Order: sequence, then structure tokens, then C-alpha cells
Amino acid sequence: MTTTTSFSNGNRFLAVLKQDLRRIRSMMIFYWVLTTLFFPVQYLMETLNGYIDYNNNMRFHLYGPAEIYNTVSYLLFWPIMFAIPIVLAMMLVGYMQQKRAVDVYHALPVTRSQMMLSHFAAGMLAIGGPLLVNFLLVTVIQVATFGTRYLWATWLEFLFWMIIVFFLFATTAFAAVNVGTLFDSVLFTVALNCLVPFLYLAVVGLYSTFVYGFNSDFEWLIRLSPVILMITRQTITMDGLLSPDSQSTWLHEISCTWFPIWLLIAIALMAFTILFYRRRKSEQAESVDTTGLFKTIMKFAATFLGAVAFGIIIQGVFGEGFMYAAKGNILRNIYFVIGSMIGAVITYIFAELVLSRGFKTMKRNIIPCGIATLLMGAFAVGMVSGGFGYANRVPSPEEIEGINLTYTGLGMSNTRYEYSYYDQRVNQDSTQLAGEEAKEIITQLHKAQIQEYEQAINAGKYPDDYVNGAVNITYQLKNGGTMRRQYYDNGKSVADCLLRLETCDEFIQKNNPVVGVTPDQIQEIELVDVLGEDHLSLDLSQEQTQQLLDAVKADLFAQTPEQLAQQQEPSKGHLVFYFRNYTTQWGLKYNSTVVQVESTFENTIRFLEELQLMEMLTNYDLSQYTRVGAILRPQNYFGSSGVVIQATPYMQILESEFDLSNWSDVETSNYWYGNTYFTQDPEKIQQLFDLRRDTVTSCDPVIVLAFYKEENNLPSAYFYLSAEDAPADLLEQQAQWLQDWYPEYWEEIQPSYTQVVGTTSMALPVYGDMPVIG
Amino acid sequence: MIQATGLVKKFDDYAALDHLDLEIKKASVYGLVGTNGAGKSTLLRTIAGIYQADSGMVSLDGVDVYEQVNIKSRIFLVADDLYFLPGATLTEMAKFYSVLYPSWSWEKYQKLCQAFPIGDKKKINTFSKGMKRQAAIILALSVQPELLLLDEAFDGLDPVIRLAVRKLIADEVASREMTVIISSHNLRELEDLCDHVAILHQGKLLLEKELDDLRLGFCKIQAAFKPALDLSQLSQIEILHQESQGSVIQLIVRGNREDVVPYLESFKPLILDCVPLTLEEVFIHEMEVVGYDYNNILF
Repeated sequence: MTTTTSFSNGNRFLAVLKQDLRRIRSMMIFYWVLTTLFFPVQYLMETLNGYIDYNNNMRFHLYGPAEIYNTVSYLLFWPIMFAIPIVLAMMLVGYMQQKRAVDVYHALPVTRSQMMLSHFAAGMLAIGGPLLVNFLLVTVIQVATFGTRYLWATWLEFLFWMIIVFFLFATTAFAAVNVGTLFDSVLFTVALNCLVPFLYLAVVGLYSTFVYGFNSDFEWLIRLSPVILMITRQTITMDGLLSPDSQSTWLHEISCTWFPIWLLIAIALMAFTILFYRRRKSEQAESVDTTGLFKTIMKFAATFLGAVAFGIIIQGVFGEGFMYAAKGNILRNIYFVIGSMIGAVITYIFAELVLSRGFKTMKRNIIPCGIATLLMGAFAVGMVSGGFGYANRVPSPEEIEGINLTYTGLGMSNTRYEYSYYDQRVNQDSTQLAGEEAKEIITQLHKAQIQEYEQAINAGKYPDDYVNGAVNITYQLKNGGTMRRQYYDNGKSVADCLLRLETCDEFIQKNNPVVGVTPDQIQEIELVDVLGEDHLSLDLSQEQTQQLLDAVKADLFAQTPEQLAQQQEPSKGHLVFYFRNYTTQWGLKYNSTVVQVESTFENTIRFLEELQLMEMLTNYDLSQYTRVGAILRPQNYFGSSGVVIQATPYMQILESEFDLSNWSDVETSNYWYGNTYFTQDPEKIQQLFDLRRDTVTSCDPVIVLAFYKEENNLPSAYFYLSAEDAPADLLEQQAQWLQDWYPEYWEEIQPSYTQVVGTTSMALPVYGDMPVIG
Repeated sequence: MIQATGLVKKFDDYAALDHLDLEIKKASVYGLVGTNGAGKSTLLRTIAGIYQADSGMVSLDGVDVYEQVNIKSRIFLVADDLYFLPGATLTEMAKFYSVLYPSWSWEKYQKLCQAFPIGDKKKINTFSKGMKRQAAIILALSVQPELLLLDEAFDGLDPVIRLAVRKLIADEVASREMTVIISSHNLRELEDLCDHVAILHQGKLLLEKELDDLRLGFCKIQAAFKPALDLSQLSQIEILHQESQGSVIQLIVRGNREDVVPYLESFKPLILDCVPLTLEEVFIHEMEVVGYDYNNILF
């Protein structure tokens, strides 16, 4: 009975596949039991517990876009899913690292391509089968509990898991065919999965530590590993996907783009694994010295990472600690360069020692080690001296196609243009500019920022990144390139440039909704006095509305930076425009906006006078206001917020400090609110009202005035007051408070403050005018 | 027919096979002998398609063996260091091989399992060294390869089983014209089994002959001359080894009896005795010629 049936390639492939599955069946069952326990069973338990409010469809302990994981799943199912492809791949292809096993496998009448494909098939079946069953179980529970709402997300999740396990399996097999021992297999698998993200972190970390202006948002990190992408993806919620919020949409889009890319990379890895396996010499088994180029790349990459780590440690230990950037600190930079070079030598030797299992190859590695050390030294010098020209490069306006600037003229609580808005407006934090004037202003801003930095360094002050806001500039260059910069600690000269930008026609056009709106898109226009007392809905024809819009536009475009920065007299009132779901041509949606009628707005004032509306703006009764609170904001411009601040009747600022209901406990209030000045003197109230301004810049110290009506605990109107115009007793009280509570800061600002106030030696009736509210 | 031409296989800088040429006829039992590290196992692995030659080629019936599934399915290697799939029983291994080798015979497998009752349902990793070797031979013979490669195949087998295996192999050669290449340091065993022998040294083929020719090509002479003979007078024979004690001399001479004995008789010996060499003696004396002499090893 001699078997002579057909022996096709398929039969041989299936024979190896069957044998592979038999070999890993115990692990497969173990994995199946574990994942079932930590995934569908957890999901079932979660859906059965009391936290679910079926009426409101709220799920308190389920996470991820498909909302199928609970905390236990995160802790246990996820690590198993990341580990199992590596373990199974090691089991299936580990024979390559044993001489005895290689003799048997490579003597079989099976091509190496068939052999490797069968290993991949066995691995994917062993992982995919149980995973498919688990997802089917989850689907059944999900449909029974929540309906079909999440199904697409659940199966998308399954697809992404399969891509991840395939990728991890492929990297492990790829590592195995390139090395000779199991130890190297594990080492190189870990390296293949972690090296690129670590290199990215090291390079970006270095640039953000040493290179001024480097934009360190690390956003590419999630694209560099499917594992990191999967972990990050779980911050998406189904609600975030269905009612799109920018973060969820962004992450989902990245997932949907990058998981297919990872699938392609995994397929390419599988193809290369097969190719290298076909070329692999059987005698490589149990050999430690045959990893060739792969080993060299790993060694140099490890040397770089070790050198960076060592350089930062040396810098931290012998410098002034690890916190805060080292930009410009010469001593710390020297420590870093020396530390990096020492680190390169140590790491290279260590890597060689580990990969070659001893010192026997060290002699012939002296020159490569020296090269690695010199390269690292050159890199470190390049870093500390400005990232190879990165820090000081400012493109000329002629090189620039367009610019994206993270500045819209809007502040957190100081609204210049907006009154209320749709969600998308909130997420709009940058302006895209292309005009010559804007290019000139922004390149000037860029240069001013670098100059400020250099002056600070020369004065021995190091910029304190990450504390204050930042201006991000993205240049789209004519040569197709992109240049990104991020500057924290924006100073006065940057604010001056931003002030110029605020009066640049293109900037106004792109940020002020009044500029682009047409009369038919306006539902109502309201005229409001400065205290917000009188509201008049204007009854205008379409033609008149257009005239008003033209007048406002002409006035906005005519405004100079000086007028904006130094308001000579307070505004006349406010025009509130209510829109009919107005969308600008840049896709921004507005409900309404407020335009401050400045005394310089000749066209607008003329239009209102012709309609005899100006009188209405002065009909308010100041006697209703019986108290005024004042607080000094001795600020400089730090970035992020708008450089121009305007007070409108719609502001709700500094509420807690002006909320008189909080003042019942005098002791507490003295402690917390000792910087708030109050007066009930009608003459002083009138004086402060007359001195008020409603457009100021955030570059100079400013006093916020809060006007209260008799019975109210909260102010009814807010204004600003220039420090130069402020009454002496108010300034002296503020100076005293600063000395008491912020002596270091006071020391810093005292010269300029003294110049304004004239004196700082005072004995103040600090709470003399403070009302006691029962 | 197995043919190796210009075969080179290097491990780093060391040439395990150094431009080796070899031709093995079908249905022959070919013994490979050689010093440690001579390249015997490397040659077998190269013939089995495990190693790829750095240059040169090994072919079976004119077709290169490496990565040729149809050729490899006609070859089976029993390695010196045995490996079985983890946790497998003999039956499971048999099922595995039965799908991969078209010539597999379940009938033969059953017979062999009866002949060598080692337990086909037991896990092989529980077997003793000799039982594992028996399992490997059962599988190898059940595959019914055209070319069976045995690397130290008898290592660990008891004398009875050795005899049985030798007989089975001889039967297969006789009945199916199976070709066997067998490497062993047990030259006595090869002497009983092989019809061809090759001696490998430092990756090169030192000598290759039919066993009979090999044995008959050397003579061990014991002779006595009075007066004692000056051996330099024996210019027409190649003396590989000589020992003398008084008038009695012992010579190992390359050449057959028919040529050597009449030549020596012409010197009128008192006594002259000529016996053929064992394979082991041939091997030792050939090795001496190339400097691999135990006298150089012993202190």
C-alpha cells in the first residue's frame, strides 16, 4: 500500500499548516480562554451592571469608539493581544534558531516560501479565529443591549486588531529570519516595534529642548506604531464620532488612513520575510555573528538613543536640574555634548557586547565606535547651536506661498469679534494668510521673536517654555515645503506685530464676520449703549443695511495700530449683528458679532447720526451704579490670547473676584481678594467712568473696572482703565498688594510701576470702601 | 545518480567542502569516512538540500537539489542529532511525512513498527536515545526514498538492532535500488554495509573506491630476510608504513597482492605473509600520509 496520490504544492502547504496548528494548539486554546474571559465576558458583565442608563443610553464604564472595553479589558485583554502574535510567531519560526530543527524543516520537500506562508497562515488562523468568535459574542451582546448603532465601529475594531496582530507577527517573523538566536529574535522584534517611535521621541525631544522655535506637538508619534495608534484611538467616543468633535474626527481619520498603511507595511514585511527566508543560510541557526546590516542599523540606533539619554542625564545632574529648557545655557549645552559622546561610547560597547555575546569583536569595532561617537558629538553640537540653522531661519516674504498663524484676534474672555458662535468657531484657532502685507508682518514677527530670545539669552534669562501661550507659525513655501515654528513667551515686540496684523485688511477680512456678510444674511442689528442699558433694534432697509456694513468695513480698514493700541476716548456704543446661520467663505459659522463703535469710526458715526440714533447712546443713567470695583492686571503679553482687548456689555470676566456674594467672610476675602479695590463714592464712580477705556492692549498693565447696580452682587458693566489714568490711591493699594503677595514679581516690575504711580510708600485704607454684604 | 561538482561550502572563513567532486551510482551503499570536521555532515546536508553550496552543485539525476521540491521528496536524511516536532508521537510524525513524501508507505510503516516495537502512540521526546534512532529509521524507511542519507545512523543502537537495520537497508537497496550514503566513524560497520567508500579530509575527497578495490589495493606484509633487507631497495612499491624488529619487517604497501608478493619474493625472504587491510587500517594509514597521525596527537 504505497501512497501515490497527487502531491501538489497545496497539499504540502496544508501539511505544514496543519502541523503548525497542531504545534500551537495549546497556546491557541489558552489565548482563546484568556481573551474570552477578559473581553466578551467583561463586556457582558458591564452591560449587566447597574451603571447603564438605558433611557439615556449612557455607558459609564465602556470605552473606545465602539464602547466595548471596560477597565479590565484595557488592563488584560489589550496586553494579551499585543503579546500573543509575538509569542506565536516565535513558536512557529523559532526552529530557524535551532540547528537540529533546521535540519528537519529545511530537508522537507517544501519550498521555503510555502513553509513561511504556512507559518503566517497558522499564526493568523490561531489568533484570528478566537478573536472572530469573541467579536461575534460581543456583537450579540451589543445588539441585544444597544441595537445596531455600534456595529460598524465594533467590526472596524476587529479589522484594526487583525491588522495589528498581523503586523506584530510579521515583525517577529522578519526579525527571526534575519538573526540566528532566539535571544536576538526577541531583541530585534522589540527593536523593530519600538525603535522608530523612540527615535522620533528622542529627536523631537532634543529639538524641543535645544532648538528655539521647534514645534513639539509630537503628533506624528501615533502614526509611527499601530500599537500606539490603537491605544490612542480608544480615546474616541461614539458620541464624538456621531456629533463630530475635532479630536475624535482627527483620530478616526488618522486611524482609517494609517491602519491600511500599516497593513501594507505588514504585507511588505511578510514579502521581505519570505524573500530573506529563501536566502537565509540554514547554518545561521545558533549563530550570533551573522545579522549583518540589520545588526549595524540596530547598533547605531541604540547608540543614538543611549547617547541622547546619557547626554540629558549628564546635563541634568551637572547642570541645574532637569526642568526647563536648556536653550541658550552654554554650560548645560557643553554638558550635553560631552554627555552624549560619553553615552555614545558606552552604549555602542554595550550594544556590541550584547549582540556579539562578548568582547571578542570589540577590537574590530573600535573604528565604527569612534565614528558613532564623532557623529553623535557633531549631532549634539548641531542641536545646541540651533539645530543646524533651524532656530534662526526666517523665510523671506518672496519665498512664502501662504502662512497659517495660530492667532485670530480672539481672546479667551476678551471678545473682539465674536459674541456667540457655533462649535466650529471655537475650534478655529488660526488664520490662513497669503497677502504681501501679512507675509511682511509675520516674518517681522518671527524675526522679532528670535531677537527677543537672543536679547533674553544675552541678559542671562532663559525662556520658560510650556508656561505661557504660544504663537505657531506654519509657512507654506513656494518650493512646496512647509516650515513650522512654535514660540512661547511672546513678548512686546511680537505683540506690536500682532497689533499691526489686527489692522491688516486681510486679517480683518478673515476674522471679522461683519466684513463678508451680506444684508440678506443679517437677521437683526441692535444698537447698544456702553453700559448695555438701552438696546435698540434698528429698522433698516436692505440698502441701509448695506450702507451700514460698508461704513463699518471702511472704519475697520481705516483703523491704525496706534488707534487700536491707544484709544484716545471710549467708544460710543456697540452694534450687535445677529446672523441667519452665516457661514464665511472660510467655512466659519457665526450666530452674531459685536462691533465697537469707536470714536474714530467716522463713517459709522455719520451713518448713525443721519438716522438720529447717536443720542440714544448717551441716555444711560450712571446714578444707578452705586459701587465700582477695580483690580490691576499688571500683565505683559504672553501669547495665546488676543493682543487687543475690548470691553463690551456682554463680557463676563473675572467674575469670582467681583462676585460680592463671596465677600461675606471678611477674613477669607482679605486673603484671596485683597487686590480688589472698591469705592462707593459717587464722585469717584463718575471719575472712574469718565476715565474708562473699552479698547486696550494686553501688553500693558490694565485696570479692570466693574460697575454694580444697587442691589446686585455681580457687576452690570465692565470697562478698562489705563494705569496711567488711574487714581493714585487705587494704584498704591495695588502696589502694596503686589509687594505683600508677589515680592519677586514686584521687584521685577517696580521700576515701570513706580514710573506710573509716582510713589510706592503708602499706608492705604485697603478695604476702607469695601462694602460688607451680609 | 548523485553528482557533486566543484562543491564549495564555507562557514565564515572555514571551507567545510573545498571544490569537492563526487559521483555516486544508483543502488549503491556509499560510505563516507573522514576525520572530525572533514565535511561529512556538511556534504550530507548539502545533498539533502539543507545547505546551499557557495559554489558548485549537487544534483540528483542531473537536477540541482537545493529548493527543488520534487527532488527533495526523493531524498531523506537521518541526521546525527535527531529532532522531532515538539510533543509529537511516532504516528503523528508518520502522518506529517506521509503528506509530504509521495513515496510514503503505510504498509511498510506498520511492518517496521512491528519489527521495532518502540510504541507509536508515545511521545517521542520520552524515548531513549536508541529508541529515537529507531523511530527515525522507521520513518526514513517508510518514506521509501530513492536516496537515504544516514549521518552516524547507528549511534546509540544496540547490536541486535544494528544488525536488523543493516539488513533492512540491504533489502531496500536490493529490492528498490535505493541509494544510501552513510557517514560513520564506525568503520567496521561500514565495511559490512558499503560497496563504495570515500575518505574525506579537510573538505576534499582524499580517496574514493569500491570497498573491495580499496581493501585489495593495500597489502599488509610480514616478512623476514636474512641478512636484513635495506628497505630502500624496494623502489618499485609504495610503502605507507613500516616497522622492523630484527630481521622481521612489517609493511603496509599500496598495491594489490598479485603485484606486491612476486616483487618481494624476488628478494628471497625467509618468510612472507600478505593479508588484506581492514577499512580502519586503510583509513589510518591514508591519514598518516596526509599528516593526520595519532603519533602527532599523543604526547
